[in-house]
Amino acid sequence: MRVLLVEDHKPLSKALKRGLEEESFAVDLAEDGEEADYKARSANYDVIILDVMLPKIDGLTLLRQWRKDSIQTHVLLLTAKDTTDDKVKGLNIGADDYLTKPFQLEELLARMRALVRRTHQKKDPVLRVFDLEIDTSARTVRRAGQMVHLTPREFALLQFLAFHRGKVVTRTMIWEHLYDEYDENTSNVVDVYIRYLRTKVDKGHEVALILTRWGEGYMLRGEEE
Amino acid sequence: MKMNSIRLSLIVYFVLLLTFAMSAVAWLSFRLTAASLRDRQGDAHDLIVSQCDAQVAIARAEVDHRILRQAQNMARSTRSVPVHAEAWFAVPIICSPGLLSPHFANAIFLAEGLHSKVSPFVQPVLQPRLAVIEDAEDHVPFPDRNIAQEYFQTYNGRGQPMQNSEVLQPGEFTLSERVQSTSELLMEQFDTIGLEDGTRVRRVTLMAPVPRYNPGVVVPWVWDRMPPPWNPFRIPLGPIAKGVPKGPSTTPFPKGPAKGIPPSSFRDRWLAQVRAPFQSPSQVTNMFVQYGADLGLTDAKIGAYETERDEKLANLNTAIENELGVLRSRMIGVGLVALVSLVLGALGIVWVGLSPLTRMSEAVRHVSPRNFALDLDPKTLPGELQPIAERIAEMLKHLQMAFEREKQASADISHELRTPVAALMTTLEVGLRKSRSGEEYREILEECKICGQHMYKLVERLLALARLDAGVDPYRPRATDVCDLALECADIIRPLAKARGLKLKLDLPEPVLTMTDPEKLQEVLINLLHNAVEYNNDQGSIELAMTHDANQMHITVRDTGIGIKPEAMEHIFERFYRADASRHADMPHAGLGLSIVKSYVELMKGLIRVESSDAGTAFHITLPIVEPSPPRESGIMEMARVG
Repeated sequence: MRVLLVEDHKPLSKALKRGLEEESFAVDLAEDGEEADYKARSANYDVIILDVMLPKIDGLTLLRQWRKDSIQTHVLLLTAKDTTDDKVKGLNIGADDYLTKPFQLEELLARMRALVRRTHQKKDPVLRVFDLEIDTSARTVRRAGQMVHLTPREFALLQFLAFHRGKVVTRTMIWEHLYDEYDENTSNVVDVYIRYLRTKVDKGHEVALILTRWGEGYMLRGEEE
Repeated sequence: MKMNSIRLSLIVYFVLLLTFAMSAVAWLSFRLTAASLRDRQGDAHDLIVSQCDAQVAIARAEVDHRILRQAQNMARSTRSVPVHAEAWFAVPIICSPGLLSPHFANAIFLAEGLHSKVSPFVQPVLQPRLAVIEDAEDHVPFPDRNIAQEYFQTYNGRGQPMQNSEVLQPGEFTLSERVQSTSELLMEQFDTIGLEDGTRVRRVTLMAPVPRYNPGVVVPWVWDRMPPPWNPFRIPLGPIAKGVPKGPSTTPFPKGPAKGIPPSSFRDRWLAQVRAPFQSPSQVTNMFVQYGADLGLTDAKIGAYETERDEKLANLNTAIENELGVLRSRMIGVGLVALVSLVLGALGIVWVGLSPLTRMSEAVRHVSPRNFALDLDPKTLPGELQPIAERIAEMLKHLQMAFEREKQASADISHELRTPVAALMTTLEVGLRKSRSGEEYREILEECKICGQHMYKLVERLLALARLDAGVDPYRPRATDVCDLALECADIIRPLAKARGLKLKLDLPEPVLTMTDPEKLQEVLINLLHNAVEYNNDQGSIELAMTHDANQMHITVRDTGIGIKPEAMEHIFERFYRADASRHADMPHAGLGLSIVKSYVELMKGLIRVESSDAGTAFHITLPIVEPSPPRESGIMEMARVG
């Protein structure tokens, strides 16, 4: 899942980026309002973590502008303002969630996962595809009851496929959602990870769940197939 | 009464004023009306009195006129009567020759007309005649004796009574000396006398000439008794008027006492008539006629007139008093009605007049910390209130700005404090989520330290301000080389400037030694230099310059940055004020730096001012130079003080 983290306090953004990346999020950083605006309009993020007090353009103004321009990306406001008025104001402008500083990293992560699920209209944190179970909150995967160990990036890929189950996802889509702005885009990096996943998920099982649609991309087997 | 309400006091004053004014007006108009009424009363009084006087005068004149007419009638009836033989008889008997003086003759004959011009010896021969009024009582016409008793008496030229009314007592109608002694022909003289029985009588005295009949022959008695025309010597007397002539009189009715009758007319006519046969006025002699009338009825009439007059006057007074009473009660009634309506009017006027105030207080009442807007358009208010409303609106605006700044400041402070805390905690949490290499831990710890430093700086600034507010941060002057201090500050800032590619220019003179607080001055300079770095344009420059004279030094910190907007200039030294509403860079800024700078400069008895344009900003600090006293001396002095 790709995240835009808008935060001008460098130590915080650095720590958050590290924490999110270790939870298999692809994180882009923006340090001021203008940069955030540019990035939010140019890439397709799953979630934007938005600080309210920012240089150049403040967070609430940005959010209002985005909602006006029909940018529907989920936005989690991160702010030091903790009064109810501030929260209500933020949510009324169009924020999807609100978190005050200082916060527990776990809480932030949980809220972000919830936002991602909401993006894909799934309420159950456990995604089930045949005998494959993906627990998005505990970040565990079981195939036929057997625990499958995945790296963060493999997990992110599988989760992305599972969210789009039964639909073809192109390599570009995968790239856009699983890699941040600084990752080097080499032609076969997605294919490599798909191969890893197949080895860990499908190997030794009768039904292959990860399918290749030649010339289009990949998909996770849907109900009808 | 305590006047807490403008409305109440206005009404009370208004009503008091009106009551006073109305009372004055009512009193004045009452007085004026009363005065004119009194005038009218006086006029009416005079009129009534003069009417009465006129009536009285007329009544009196009527009496006078009547008695004069009667007297005149009597006088006209006089004539000479020849002395008959029987009378002649007496003359030689009574008179001795020696006594035949004219005076004796007169006394004896009780006759009138034997005057001294005729020789006493000749007189008996000339058969003088006596002037008598024949049938005098008949000549006194008493048309109605019920109206008034009338009296008469005649005297001869010597003042001796000749005839009188029978009712008169002797001595009642006396002839005054003045009348007797006069040689002039008196026409008439009026007077009022009292009779013995107490009757008041109006009397006229008339002197009448009597013709003396002197034909030069002795007229036989019988002939003499013959009436004209058989007796040519007999004077035709004409008809005797009986009483007061009725109908139009030949002479106008006299308006006053008999003066009105032209004396000449009657006398001339009469004289002409009398003298005609005699040719000589010397043959005329005089007699006096007195005629009087009882005044009882006239007095009663006059009394009635006066009673009537007094009644009229009393009525007039009553009417006037009634009118005044009506006027007074009307005035009071009108005054009360006017007062009530004025009070109501005053209430209305005060209500209308104060309605803008009411509106304003209502608008002010609705102001709350949530809504600072004054719900009132000052243009709709009267001119007097407009400045107040405008000032209130302005004040509220300032207050709202202060509130918002305070709110913003507390948000800023919480942000500034919470963000490093959040960063610290997140860094630690991320670091602890899994086991890492020593290098990674080291990196995380470095980040934690940076967070700690940010927090420290911010807390220091907040504490500095808190100490300034509490006044527990005293000015600690020490002998300091300001030039040296400036160089130190420049050294601290230089790496930051270099990191942003800025040139740092120094223009510092020779060392300046002064008594100042080096820590605070350093804080001031560092702060200003930090700002200069932070708000500078890339490739810009920073200038730190210092000049001084005997008493003052001037320190200037100049940058080539974006400058400060004019509307922000007056606020930049305010606490929590930030020209840029959003935040800038990664340094902690809660809008406290310049506020601290200003406080410190003032603490050091200096001045700070700022100049700014789009080419950059310059802060000028002026500090006094205080010659440091040599430490030894102060030490001695301290010892001396201790000793």
